[in-house]
Amino acid sequence: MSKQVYTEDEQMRRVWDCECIKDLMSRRFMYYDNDMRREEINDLWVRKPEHMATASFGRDWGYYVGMDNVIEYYVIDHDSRRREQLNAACKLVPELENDSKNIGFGCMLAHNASTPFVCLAGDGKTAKGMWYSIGQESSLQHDDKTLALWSNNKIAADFVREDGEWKIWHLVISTDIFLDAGEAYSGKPIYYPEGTNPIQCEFGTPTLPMLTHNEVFLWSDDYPPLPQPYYTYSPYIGYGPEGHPNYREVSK
Amino acid sequence: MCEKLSTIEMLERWEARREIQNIMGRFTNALLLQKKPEWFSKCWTTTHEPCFGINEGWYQGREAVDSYFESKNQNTLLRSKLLQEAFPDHLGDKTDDEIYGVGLLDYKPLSNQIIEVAGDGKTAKGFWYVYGMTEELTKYGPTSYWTFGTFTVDFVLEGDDWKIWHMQYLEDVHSPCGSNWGEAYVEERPVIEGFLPMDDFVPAAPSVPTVLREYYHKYRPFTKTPRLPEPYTTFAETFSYGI
Repeated sequence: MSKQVYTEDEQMRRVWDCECIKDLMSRRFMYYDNDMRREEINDLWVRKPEHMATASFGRDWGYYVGMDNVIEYYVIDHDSRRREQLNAACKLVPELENDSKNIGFGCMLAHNASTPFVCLAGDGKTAKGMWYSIGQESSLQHDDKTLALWSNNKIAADFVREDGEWKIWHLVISTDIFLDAGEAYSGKPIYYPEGTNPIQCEFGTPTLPMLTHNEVFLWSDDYPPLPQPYYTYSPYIGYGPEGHPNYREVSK
Repeated sequence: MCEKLSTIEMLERWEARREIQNIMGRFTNALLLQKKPEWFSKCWTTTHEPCFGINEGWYQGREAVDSYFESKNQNTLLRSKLLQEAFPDHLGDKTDDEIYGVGLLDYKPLSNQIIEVAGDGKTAKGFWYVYGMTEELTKYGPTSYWTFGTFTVDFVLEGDDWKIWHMQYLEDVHSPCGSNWGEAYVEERPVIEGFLPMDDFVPAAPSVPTVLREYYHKYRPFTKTPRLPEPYTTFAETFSYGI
């Protein structure tokens, strides 16, 4: 993108837009940590039909595309898992009432948004951003033990301005490490037999299955890549599936 | 945060955000650098009643807030002396000032920043998540702890300076590094006699004891973070991070 010339007002607007986007992603992480996934979708993600149709949520094994599919995975499936976890907890703690108010009993999530890198489009209509997240997810298990899992990820997103407000449009999470707290990283299996990778199991079967990032080889595939300056958005430079270098092969 | 603002309003808010971000950066750096209580005293408001909340309750008012930092100071003095006695070859000939804070690490990096500056520009609210670590001296020797928690802060503008008005630092995890924080930690190291005085140290108690936040354990009900800042015009119309 050639160097753009902006008025002082436009420059200040662009500075402020980047602050808004950083704030938005911080809030997104805290909605996630507070298990407010439905509210996150409603408050922070795209609302216009044309954007909802192409919204996506990606992980190492592909993308859920279209808001209905994103909600099915990210909200509805998650609610089911939380309900199962509560059922199991009630067997361990007899005085615990099996009621929705106790969803998440014994669970704790904490993912942080650090190292923000935000690139605002030259036309000011979209933006791309990347963050690094050192996180953990803890939960009471069936055997009355705590699974305390480190979960470190690269997270990238496309944003679009809707009626003056920034919204999340495409989100992709690329896992670097997940590891039991207190265990040596060197003791972790390099390859998981089919059906045993807990992160992959949680992700399920996405709308568009494809290998987006191979955790085994860490950052050698550089996905998602750092945002680059751009003037106007195209899906082929976005963090949705069309922006992945292997997309054309998969979609044939 | 994305309400329609004039260019000047955006600039003023951006400058306020930057200054608040820097205040918190200076605060956590001061913890790391083991600054003395008088350093921290200057961070707090002098025109409003300050308060500081931790998991075990509130330090309400100037005197109580200052007592918290004085207590940390006393802990540091004791620890430094005990380490000097334990390592005479390395530390024996050092002065009290030179050994102050030796062997201590209190690391609270700030992430997940959310700041709202009031529409009237007189106050602001901030939220940060902390994946921290602290090195403490116990009767078993130096022990590293993971410290995961949140800072939530109300700020007030006094003249040209932003000051801390209400602050909460609430932890979910304060657990030895290298362990599963959801399971009880079993200490296997022997007691070191020279460090026994650390067991007798009594920190300054909160002036208003209460459970502000329960540490995580496997039977803890799902506990959300403190409320996130929301856009507001005047402090009267928003919630407080104070007592």
